[in-house]
Amino acid sequence: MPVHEERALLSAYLDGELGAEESARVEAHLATCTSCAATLSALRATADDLSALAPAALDARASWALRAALRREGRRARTARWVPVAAAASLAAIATLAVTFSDRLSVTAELGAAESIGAPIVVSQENYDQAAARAKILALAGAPLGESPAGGGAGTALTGGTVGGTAGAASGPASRSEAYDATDASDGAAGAPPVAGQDAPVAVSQDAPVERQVAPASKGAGADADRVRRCATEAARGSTDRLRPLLYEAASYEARPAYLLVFAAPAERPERLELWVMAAKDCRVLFFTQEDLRT
Amino acid sequence: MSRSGEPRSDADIVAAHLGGERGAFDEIVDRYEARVYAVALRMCGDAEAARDVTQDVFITALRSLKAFRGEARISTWLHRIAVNASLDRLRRRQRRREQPLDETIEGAVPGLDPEEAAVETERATAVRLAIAALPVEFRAVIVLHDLQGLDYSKVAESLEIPLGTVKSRIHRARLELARMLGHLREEVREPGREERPLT
Repeated sequence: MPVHEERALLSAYLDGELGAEESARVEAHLATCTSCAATLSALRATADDLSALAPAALDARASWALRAALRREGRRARTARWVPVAAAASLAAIATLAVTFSDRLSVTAELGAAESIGAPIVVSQENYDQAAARAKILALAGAPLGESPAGGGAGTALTGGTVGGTAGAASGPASRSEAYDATDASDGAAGAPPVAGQDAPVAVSQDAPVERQVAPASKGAGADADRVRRCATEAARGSTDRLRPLLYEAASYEARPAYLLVFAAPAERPERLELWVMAAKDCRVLFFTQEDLRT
Repeated sequence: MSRSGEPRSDADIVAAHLGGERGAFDEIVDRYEARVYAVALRMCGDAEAARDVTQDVFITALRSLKAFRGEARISTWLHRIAVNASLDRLRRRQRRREQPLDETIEGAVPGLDPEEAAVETERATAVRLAIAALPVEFRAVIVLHDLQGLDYSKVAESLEIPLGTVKSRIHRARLELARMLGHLREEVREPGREERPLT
């Protein structure tokens, strides 16, 4: 098949990118050349097909995660000093981080006992109950809404799962499922349905595809703890408010190992909860949502 | 300053951001996140990669905005970063899999989020796979021109290639697509069709 000079111009012609003179030349040629006319027809059909592709849309949660990552990036210039604080005694399976950024750039880090992170926890989306999860978080946060079983008031660094402080202490190192049971037991006022430990809903917004698989806590989570602290630092870096960490957990997000971190902000008088899911490898923000506590 | 009732121009928002106005960059994100994601999605062929690339693009933009002199329009600039970030991602993936970048990988296109997949028509699937099967330099021009609606000169600006190269790549890319989609029966051989694969 001979290649006509004009053939190479057919796409540009179709796209209206040719000057008047070249267009005229192509048109004249098309009138006499069935092969090029056929090619043009094929190009038109292809362009038509391309327009059948649905516009790509960034879903809401990815959009949130993007903004959270940018907020974090926006404050990158700040530095943080870690000031070790005596670890709180008798932490339950979930260790907590207390990370506070202030304008004075002082940071306190408080890392709990080694029984911090177990294997990633998976719950099915079906047994997730947003209301129950929210109630659980509020209970952990000691927020004014509902009862505050934590007993520590707004000022303490609460440990996830040690509702009332004593439950964890009394039972010593507990598996995560036990910790959630303890929480459930005190949640009466918040109306959370009793949940078997294995199916404790994770505290995320309804759209989150975060998966958690219940597993007993394991020791030797030192490396994990460091990584979580790094991610928590990253998360807090961008915030103008002081963030009070409530809990963190290992999780997986769309099959990627990740950490789930929940903060109350501002730390002193929480107005919202921030939930971050960050990639374990590099603390990339995978998911972000926040819940207004005042509603 | 914008006149009342009219959205600010991109240039004004950039200036506002550089001037320290809070929330100005957010407006840029609002305006361009969908476009950047669209480029990343069609270049990378998978949603997770596209989300990561989108983050990378805006983080890069945030970091480099001071150096952005405004010779190019910010939309062109963002498109450029998006294509480059996508190519970086593809190269990294290629190195891991040890496959030539431009080879069509049978059945390996993860493609879509479940919600998208549910409503995608057969025709759209075919188109999507065809685009993903294009060599990357063809894919880039098709994505920018046919999907993003940039004219040839903006495509040239975004990809930093001559206008003539844009014309020829778009044409060859379309012929390639036309063949894959069954619109062209005969073998199309144009002079110089063989191109060096992207590194």
